[in-house]
Amino acid sequence: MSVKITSVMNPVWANSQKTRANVYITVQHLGDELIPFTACSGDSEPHGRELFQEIVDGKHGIVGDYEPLVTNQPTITGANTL
Amino acid sequence: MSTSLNSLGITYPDSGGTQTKTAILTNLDATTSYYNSGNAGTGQVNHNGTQPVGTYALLKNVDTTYGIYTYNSTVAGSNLVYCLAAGAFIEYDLSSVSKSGYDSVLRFAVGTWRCMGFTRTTTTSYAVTLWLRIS
Repeated sequence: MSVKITSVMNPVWANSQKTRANVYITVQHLGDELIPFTACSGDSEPHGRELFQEIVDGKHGIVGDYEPLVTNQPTITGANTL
Repeated sequence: MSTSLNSLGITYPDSGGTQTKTAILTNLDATTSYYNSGNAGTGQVNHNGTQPVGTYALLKNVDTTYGIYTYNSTVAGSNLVYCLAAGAFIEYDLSSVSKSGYDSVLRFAVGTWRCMGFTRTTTTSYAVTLWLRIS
């Protein structure tokens, strides 16, 4: 399936190594729906690879700093902890 | 030169007479199930974290910022990692890894994924569900 990206906004690095970037995009096959997208140079999809290169080249503006994910670390606080 | 296998558009490129061939999926749509690209000779799935649009995967949402994802909501691949049904593998694997080390350990997805179930990321066991890559 060929994906045609129609708009790109708010690029932000998705990891500290800057090998992936998050953006919001619209694509032709989904109409006006604004969707989050992770672009990566190693994507199997050509539109993902091309978008990542455009982000690196600054075509979509300044790329925001990476912010680590907020995650749940496992805890052992009692017998009833899931 | 490719050989078309069926109406779904699954083709196997000519690899010059060798036995190893890679399937390429074309004309994908969101209403049909597909196998991932991989080695057709052994049936192994190509698990590289960069699956094509139209792929279904069991993924765990590791971003608890938004808490709940319902059916049909979308999320960036950077928030999703491949995992077992209960997500236990991820916790076990990360038992000695700091948050900053997540990226080197986890197999993150890329692109955009649509939720095919329901997740509540504030509870580990409920953070896993079926996702469909849509872009």
